[in-house]
Amino acid sequence: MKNYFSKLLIVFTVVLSALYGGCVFASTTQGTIDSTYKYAWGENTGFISFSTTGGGSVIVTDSDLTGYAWSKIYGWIKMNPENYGVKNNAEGTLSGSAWGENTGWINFSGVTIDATGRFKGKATGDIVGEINFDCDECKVITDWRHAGLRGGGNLPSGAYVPPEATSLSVSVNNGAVKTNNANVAITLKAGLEVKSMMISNSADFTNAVEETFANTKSWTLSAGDGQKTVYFKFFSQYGQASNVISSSIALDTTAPELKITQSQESYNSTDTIMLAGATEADSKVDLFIDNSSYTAFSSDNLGNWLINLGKYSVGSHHLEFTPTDSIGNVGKPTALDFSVKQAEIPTEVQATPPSNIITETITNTFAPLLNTVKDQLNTFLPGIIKPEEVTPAQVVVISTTTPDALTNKWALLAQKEIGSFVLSPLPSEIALIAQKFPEVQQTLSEVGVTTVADVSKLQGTTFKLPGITQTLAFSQVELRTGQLTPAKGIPIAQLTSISKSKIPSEIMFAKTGAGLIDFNTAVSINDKGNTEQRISTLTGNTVQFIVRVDGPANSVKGYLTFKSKKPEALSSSIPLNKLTASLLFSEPDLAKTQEQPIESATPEQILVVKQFDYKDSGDGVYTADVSMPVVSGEYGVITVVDYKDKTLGTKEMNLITVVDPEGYVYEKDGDKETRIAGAIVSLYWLNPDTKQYELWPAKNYQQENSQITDVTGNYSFLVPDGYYYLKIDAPGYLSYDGKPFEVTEGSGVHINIELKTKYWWLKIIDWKTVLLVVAVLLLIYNFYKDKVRDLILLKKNNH
Amino acid sequence: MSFNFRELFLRHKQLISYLVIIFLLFGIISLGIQCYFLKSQEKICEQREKTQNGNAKIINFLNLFIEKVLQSKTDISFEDRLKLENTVRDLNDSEILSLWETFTEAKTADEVQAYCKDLLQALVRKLNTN
Repeated sequence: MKNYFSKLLIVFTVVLSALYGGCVFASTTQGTIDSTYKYAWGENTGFISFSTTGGGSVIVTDSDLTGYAWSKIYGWIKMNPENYGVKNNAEGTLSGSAWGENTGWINFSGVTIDATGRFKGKATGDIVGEINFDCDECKVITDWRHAGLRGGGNLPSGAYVPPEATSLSVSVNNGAVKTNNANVAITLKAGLEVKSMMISNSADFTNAVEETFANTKSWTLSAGDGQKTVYFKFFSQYGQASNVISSSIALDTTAPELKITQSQESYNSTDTIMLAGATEADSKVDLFIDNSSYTAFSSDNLGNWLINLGKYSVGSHHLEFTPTDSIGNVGKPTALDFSVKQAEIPTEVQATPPSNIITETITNTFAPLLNTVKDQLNTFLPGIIKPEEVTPAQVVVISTTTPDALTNKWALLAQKEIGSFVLSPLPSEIALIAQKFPEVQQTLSEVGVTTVADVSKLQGTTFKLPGITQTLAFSQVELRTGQLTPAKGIPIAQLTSISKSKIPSEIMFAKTGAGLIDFNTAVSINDKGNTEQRISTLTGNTVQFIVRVDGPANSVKGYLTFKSKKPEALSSSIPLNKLTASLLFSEPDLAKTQEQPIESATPEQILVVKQFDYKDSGDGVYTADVSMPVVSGEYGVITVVDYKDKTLGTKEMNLITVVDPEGYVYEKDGDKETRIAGAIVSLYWLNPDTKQYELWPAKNYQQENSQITDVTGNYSFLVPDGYYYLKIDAPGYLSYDGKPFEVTEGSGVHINIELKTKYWWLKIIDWKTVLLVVAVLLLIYNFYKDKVRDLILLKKNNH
Repeated sequence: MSFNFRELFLRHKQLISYLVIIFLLFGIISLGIQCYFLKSQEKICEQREKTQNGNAKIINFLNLFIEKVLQSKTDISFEDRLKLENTVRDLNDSEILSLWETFTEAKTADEVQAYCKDLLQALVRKLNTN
């Protein structure tokens, strides 16, 4: 029995639930509020929920709203209070008022429900103020639908919604303003809900047919020129029609006409032929002259045109004007015939009647003055008052026959020259140097310099030619085994005949330190595009120049010439052993044929400081020891080889030698420097064997280390590659221990070094400082005394 | 003892007038100087604009020349020839016009190549890079 009762209870519950569900759940005639979009918003009320569980959700019917809304602040709001309540006109327009104990009456006459079930507008109340149903955060949506949109049946709720206007767009000829063809292309865009469409040339869609939606459509505009509007209507699959939308375009199929308003039947050969006319606005007019020349011009925005054709030859002429309007309608050609006669040259001056003499005299006298006044007035007159001057368009006339240059019958740019420039190998001089120095060859290939066109890649860079010892690829360790010396160089005298024959010919090398130190020569391109070899040395230093000649020579002479006081800075300096280096010498002048003997050059051309002869060291190698000038600056060393073989002629090699001043030791005294005498300058060298800094063995290089400075404070060292640092001691001065530095080529160590005195702080205290300190102290003492006196007076007054 | 501003003003009326005049004069001079500098700037700007416009015209013609003449595979059409003629005249440069006319009147392949180079070189040279 108990079991039977339980079953009965379950059945009853299910039936009741079904009945309850039938009353409340989604329906287009009796709608509920969406569980997500259920909140309205008021500044005073906060969020108000129209779908609640406690008091009964709001139900929307064709006649009214029932149930309760809930506000956290004001509590329950009843939609259908007795004798009042919110009414619905079955088409979504609400009226009447809801009631809440705390809110008072809330008027819903400003609220509507649209075709999609969405609440729009605002309800108002004396206490709650405005309640907004449609804002960014608030939205109330029901599944109730307007009575007029409901067709019944088992259609889904969205079946009554027409296609959304915002998703629809149409354009005729891609939005063109004008067309000269009644057949146009229409582009249509619509949402997925659109299944069919209707297109018409009339707003009432007379004789229009509903057709399947397509994104493009060919359409014929209604007959006759003018502004044409095409109307569109879109339908959903349930037959809901969208609002009518339209697109317009101007149809112009009329060819433009051209009238000539200014012309003459006959002109003089001295006359400038000017023609004027009218056609459609912004038209292009093609003009054929005597069937042999051609030109074109345009009319202005009013359709007028005025052209200047210049002077014409004597005879008859025939012109044909063909207008084309802005949308391509081509008009019929308009012809104009005229003749040009030879201008008559006046042979005798006719006597002027006496009555006009005075007038003409006055006119001629005052004409310039009047013209000046007229010009001045014109500048002051505003643009509106001044009559607008119409200047004829200067038309350019070209022949109907294309000139040969523009017929494409010839190559305008010589292909052979371009090809030979791009593909030709490096200049012979570069190839020769690359051949003489394998490092150069390697660098060129690594940086991709293979043709003459690549030469510009190396512009503005400098590279170092290896020294003579490096060129001959001797191992320094083998040469100086067992000796404590970093020497790399080998004196020329110690070279064997085979070694000498390996020296690249017609290249200048330089050595110093009794031939033990090699100079690495820097090669760069100067601003004129020529190559320059460059070394740096010190004033008074003796440099040995070495050159190997290509054949027996009558003489090898050298000239030391002054170039400039200030040496030009090199753009960059990269040794060749670093293969990222680059190089360019498109026109290397390492050895070139002498154009003018040095002796015959004037001092303005070359200032020869010293002339010297090279000595034959055997096997075609010539050397010269040259003492560098005591004045620092940039000098040129020119070597002239006079070959016995006449075919070789006289060759000239150039090397720029930058002579740097010696370094000096000094003490700073304000802005001035005082040289220090008696300072002991010691150079320390990093011995690669012991990895320790040791006193550099200067005796091996015919020099002294340490050096004691004289009254000039000067010192200098010429050293091979390596790491060094300087140490200086002088009585009365703090000892100087320099930081290590690298010497990458055979160049001088000549740094200017400042020493500090042991009692440097005494220099800060001069009489001005002392006086200032005394004045400040007296001032402070004065303030102190004043303060003490004030305190004493204050105490006395208190007593 | 109260401060009488009016009395003070009347007593130093002349001095105040002088001060105002000096102040105004100073203002006028400084505005005049400013105006002068602005005018100079304006002239420089106008000059630059003129240069830029000139350069733009040259580049336009150069571009047209390369596109329509150098890269052409066929006869150059009436329209293009007319465009070239109008553009070259728009440069308002007698040297370029003369070189163009020499180029179009060339009678042999060697001449046309030489004149073409001359024209291109002149066009590039005329570009004002300042």
